[in-house]
Amino acid sequence: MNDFLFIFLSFFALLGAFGMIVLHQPVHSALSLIVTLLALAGLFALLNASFLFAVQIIVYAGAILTLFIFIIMFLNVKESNLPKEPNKTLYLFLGGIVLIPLNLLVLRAFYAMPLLREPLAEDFGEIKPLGAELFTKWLLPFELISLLLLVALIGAVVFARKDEV
Amino acid sequence: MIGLTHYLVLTGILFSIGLVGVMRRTNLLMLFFSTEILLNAVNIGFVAVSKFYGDLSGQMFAFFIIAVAASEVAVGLGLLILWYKRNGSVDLNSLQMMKG
Amino acid sequence: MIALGCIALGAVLLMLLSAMPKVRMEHCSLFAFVTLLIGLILTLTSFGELFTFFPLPKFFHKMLIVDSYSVYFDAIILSGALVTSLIGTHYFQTKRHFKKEFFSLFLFSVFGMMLLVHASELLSAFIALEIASLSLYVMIGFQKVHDKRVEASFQYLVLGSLAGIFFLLGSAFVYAGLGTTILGEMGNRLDTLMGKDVSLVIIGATLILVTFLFKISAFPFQNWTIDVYDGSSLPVSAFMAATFKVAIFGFILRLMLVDFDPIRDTWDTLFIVVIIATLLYGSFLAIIQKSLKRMLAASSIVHTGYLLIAFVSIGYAGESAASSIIYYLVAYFLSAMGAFGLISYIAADEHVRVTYEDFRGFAHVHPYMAAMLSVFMLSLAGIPSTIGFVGKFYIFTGAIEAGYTFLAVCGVVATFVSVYYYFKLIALMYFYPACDSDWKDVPSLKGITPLTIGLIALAIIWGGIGNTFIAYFPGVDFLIDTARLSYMSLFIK
Repeated sequence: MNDFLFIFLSFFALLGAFGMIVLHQPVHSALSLIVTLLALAGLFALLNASFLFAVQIIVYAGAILTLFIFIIMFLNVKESNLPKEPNKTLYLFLGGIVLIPLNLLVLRAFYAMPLLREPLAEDFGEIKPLGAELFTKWLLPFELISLLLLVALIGAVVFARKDEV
Repeated sequence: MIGLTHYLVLTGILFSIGLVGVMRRTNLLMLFFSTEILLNAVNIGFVAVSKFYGDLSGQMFAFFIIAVAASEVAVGLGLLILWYKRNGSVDLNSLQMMKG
Repeated sequence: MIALGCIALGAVLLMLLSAMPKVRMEHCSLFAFVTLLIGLILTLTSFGELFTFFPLPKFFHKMLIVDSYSVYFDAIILSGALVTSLIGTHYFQTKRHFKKEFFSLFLFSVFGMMLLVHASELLSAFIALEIASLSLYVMIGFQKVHDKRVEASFQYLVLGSLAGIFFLLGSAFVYAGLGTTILGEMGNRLDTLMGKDVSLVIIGATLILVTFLFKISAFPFQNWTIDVYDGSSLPVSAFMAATFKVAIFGFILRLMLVDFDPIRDTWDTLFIVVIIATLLYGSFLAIIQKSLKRMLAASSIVHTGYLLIAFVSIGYAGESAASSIIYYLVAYFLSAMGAFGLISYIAADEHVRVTYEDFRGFAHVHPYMAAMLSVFMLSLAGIPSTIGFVGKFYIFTGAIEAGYTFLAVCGVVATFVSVYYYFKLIALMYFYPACDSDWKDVPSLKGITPLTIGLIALAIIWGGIGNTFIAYFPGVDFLIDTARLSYMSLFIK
């Protein structure tokens, strides 16, 4: 069952990603990206990451993508204002071919690597141990992220407000 | 049986797709979308490794990466609106000096 | 550690203060200055001692490290920020569109940079890097009435976030290979895996290196440098060129020396190619520029090349190479800061004077400013009796000691080429009659900005002369000794 789900979800993830870079209209791309994000959320659930599953759907597919679609609607880019991209498909195809050897290199490196596997804890990935870990071991990054978001907030305000002069 | 390797293959393919998108699309909005694909590719890799080792660090990474992505998008979209209002274009080539 | 908290607190406070209508620009600038000064004083109290510890291990779990090494870099970063705020005083007051929040972002970026050299874990380092870069993006685009600023900011943001993703992918591979992302532990795991195939870790570490090569603008990733530096306002370019580079070198040196030590030889060839290309292409770019600001930006690429020479020689001449990098960072920071600062002072009023031609005959009208500008150019070119010469001298001797004579020769050749584009300015200033343009709008030498610039010029000469003529000279030797000490503190177990 898990194997089937993996193949199913990753197929949709790849399809969405592929659609995103091929489609011409930004709105279509954004919708296609949502397919990828939801499929990845499913994969997170398969990997025992239940919290990330929720975060991915709520924050990513919910908030960030809504923001994107809002911006697209807000800008209301006309067809004539969209950049013309001749030979786009050809370029994408060529780019894909160039990257294949890199992928193979990484894969080979991965197989050659001696990995030390450890047995999975019973409650691995459940919300309680995750929360405990987040607020003890990872406290510093957690606090830092709040500062980062603060900086982003100031930045967004600076760029969005009207100049008084 | 699906193992870590399959997930990493997925990471690799997704990352390549995103990279091709970044390199070849000239629509600035598309650039942000491709960046999201890249970040998600990295995320799935981290979570897969995390399960493999039975160590939560990977999930933490994914969690924080989502937050970083959100903050970058906030600033980036602010700049994009500013740029579009001024130039009426979302074409990468409208950035005169961006040639690299 | 306390300094770090002090800066963060100051940044948040300043953000809150700037919302009040009563508080004016000058107050914010003063507040930022005082915060930085307190931070620097706190840092200097433990300067020059040998120690290492993890602060608050109960809460931070080895994510943060405080040792002589990071304190040394803290001191450089803080003094860089301090000098920026001093030389920028005049600029920020005369140019409109700088709002109060600017200083808050400035403190945030200083905080991010300091955190980067303290980071002892890959994720914390990444977030620190993001805090520093994100505030820099906004600082660059702050005067959004100018298309140029917005464009530079946008370009830097797009390319910067792309480079950041490579760092993440690299850490994912390293994590997959080693099962940990804490510095020090990564090195230990790698030691136990020696003799086996660790190519996954090598690929991951290479991807991490890509990000850093981008941020310090080494060869394949140098295209953004000139446009972004040119597009930003002068004090911000100075801040980026001098301070951000220091912070990034601080982290990458720690990563390479402590953790990826066993696999460092893998990159030797790669680095040699990168260095030669960086030196060649950077010199080429610097020669063809007509604008002084773009020339300084291009020459910063060449200086990255010199720093990378010392970086590869670490493998064979560890101590002297590492301390020569640290010393050169100080030298470059002083010279670049002075040059950018003086140009920003001259250009601060409405007439923008940034091309070579604008400076024709400058020395006959403003002899003192021309003299200071010449000192900075001489130091950047590495002429004896300036601090730039001493820095280059250490780097090249380190390279020869490590057996990279060829690289040292390349560096010397690049130095000779650099004399052309630096001396062009000096020649224009001194050997041509003054051009017809009106010099009245150049501000006179009054106030805090010229005073700071003058002090920097004195420091450059002091640092240069001291070491060349007198065997032991306070100040310079102290800097070198502390650099050695901070290098040693990396290896305390």
